[in-house]
Amino acid sequence: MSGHDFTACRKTPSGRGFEGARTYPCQQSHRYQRGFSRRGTVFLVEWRRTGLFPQPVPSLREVFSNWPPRLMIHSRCCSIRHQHELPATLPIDNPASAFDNDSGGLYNVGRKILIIDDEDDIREVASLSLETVAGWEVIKASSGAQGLARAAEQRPDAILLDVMMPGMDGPATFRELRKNPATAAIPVLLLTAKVQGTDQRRFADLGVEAVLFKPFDPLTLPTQISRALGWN
Amino acid sequence: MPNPDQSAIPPDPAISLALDVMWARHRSQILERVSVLESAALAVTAESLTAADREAAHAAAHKLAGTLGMFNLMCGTDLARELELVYSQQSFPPATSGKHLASLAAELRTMIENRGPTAPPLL
Repeated sequence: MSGHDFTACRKTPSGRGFEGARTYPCQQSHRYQRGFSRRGTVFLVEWRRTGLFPQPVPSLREVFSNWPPRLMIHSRCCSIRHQHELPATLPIDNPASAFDNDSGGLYNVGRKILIIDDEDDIREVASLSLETVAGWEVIKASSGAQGLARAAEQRPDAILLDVMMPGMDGPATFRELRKNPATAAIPVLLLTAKVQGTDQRRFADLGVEAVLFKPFDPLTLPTQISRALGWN
Repeated sequence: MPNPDQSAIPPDPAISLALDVMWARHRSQILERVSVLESAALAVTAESLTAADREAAHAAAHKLAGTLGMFNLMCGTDLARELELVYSQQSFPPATSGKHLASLAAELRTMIENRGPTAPPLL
């Protein structure tokens, strides 16, 4: 995997521009993006693919430790843009603390999505989309039974569940997830290539959070999921 | 420095490249699904389609419908959906529809074989 430049800057006091840009080479830039979704500080971050990472990667604690409290995050992976506007209710007097693993900072609260689908190509493209476009962590399972085990072990933030699978299909898997107290509260989004109205109504009646349709656009799948679940 | 006010999401070369890699990896499996549809169309014409053949054709068409659009072949998804609908019926397709089903499968094959390693732009 090639490296990325990681560029961070702060919002100007007027709120209309950005200043103080600093660029850091890093290899695993999307690792940083994972944390930018639930906490009160808003930062601006950009990264570009460069293939160069000649120096030690600075920690985000180091990057942000000397900055004033009001920051904005904006992430950019090549030409893809994500703006994370977050509620300003968390301690923004010390932005670096948001990245402190020990105190449950931002780094620990990235979205974790479980994809359950028997088709390799669908799992791969969905993973590409959620990891690269959204910066979420992805866990994969190729069957309903494997998905039940992964869900109980990993407690993902949401499950993307294929409808048509051999053995335990999507609806049966969903019912098993709901029976287990460990997984009962995890939001489930069904993923289906069925477009007929009767199928859609049947799936919606199961009680899932949403029904998403194949083929999906890899660039907009994370947005579809976020909208369906009311995530920022 | 990006302008945060820009809301359009342009195509991303890194994603397109990754999709091309995935396409190359799964292309043969995708073409196998088309072969299932081609065989089913021949069996329809010959009035030899079995329930198992029909079920296999239905599954192949369903998977193609869900997959091709992800790789920017939405026309392929539409063709596959048409075939999925035919093979999802309780009654067997009449022998007279075999030619049409074969042409749909052939069109799918051409479309898939013509998708080069470099995908057309997303969106």
